[in-house]
Amino acid sequence: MMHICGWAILFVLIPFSVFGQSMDTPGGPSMYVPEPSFQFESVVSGQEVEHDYIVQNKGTAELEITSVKTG
Amino acid sequence: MKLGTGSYGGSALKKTAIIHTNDPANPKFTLTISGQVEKFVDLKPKYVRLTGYSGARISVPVTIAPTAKYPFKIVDITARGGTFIKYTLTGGKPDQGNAYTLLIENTKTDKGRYMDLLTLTTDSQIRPKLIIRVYGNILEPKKTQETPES
Repeated sequence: MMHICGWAILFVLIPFSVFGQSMDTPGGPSMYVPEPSFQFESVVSGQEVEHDYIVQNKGTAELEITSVKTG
Repeated sequence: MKLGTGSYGGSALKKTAIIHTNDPANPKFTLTISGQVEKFVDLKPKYVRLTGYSGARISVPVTIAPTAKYPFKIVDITARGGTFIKYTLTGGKPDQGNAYTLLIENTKTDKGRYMDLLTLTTDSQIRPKLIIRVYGNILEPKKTQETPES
């Protein structure tokens, strides 16, 4: 049984240069996450851990995050 | 990503979040957070069930043992409701490893269920509060069948 309380995710959307072109999907959005995995230093139980992930769009179209599911 | 670590003491914690996007190359993308969570206290049991027949003595002892790295003392206990339980705290002495025993007893005399919450205040700045949930379920006594006289 999980007892995670207070899940929340903060994304920082950084629009990449609109003058460049995405190599992966020309004309479309192209997501880039510099650090998809984060390892926190040892904490004592009861402390809250928080980390902000940076999500960049390297494409030329708007990147939409349609949903987030935690598990 | 924000997460509580209260129930992960003494274990490695790993959680993921899957984000869905309109990027054709990454329609689903997994973010991971992980790390080690140190134990602050040995709490046994973590929650208390007071189940039994009305009229009977129903009680559960809870052991609260501080870890050597994060010693603490219990300075106060309060019950959110306190209507159907009473509690007694003993121990906390060095010759007992600074462990406490909290005896929680049912006081409800009739059939029914209840829930209560005990908040233990400590002198620790790391964990100033410990929570123990109490669930009560008091049953009607079984009726003894009368045997017909022969």
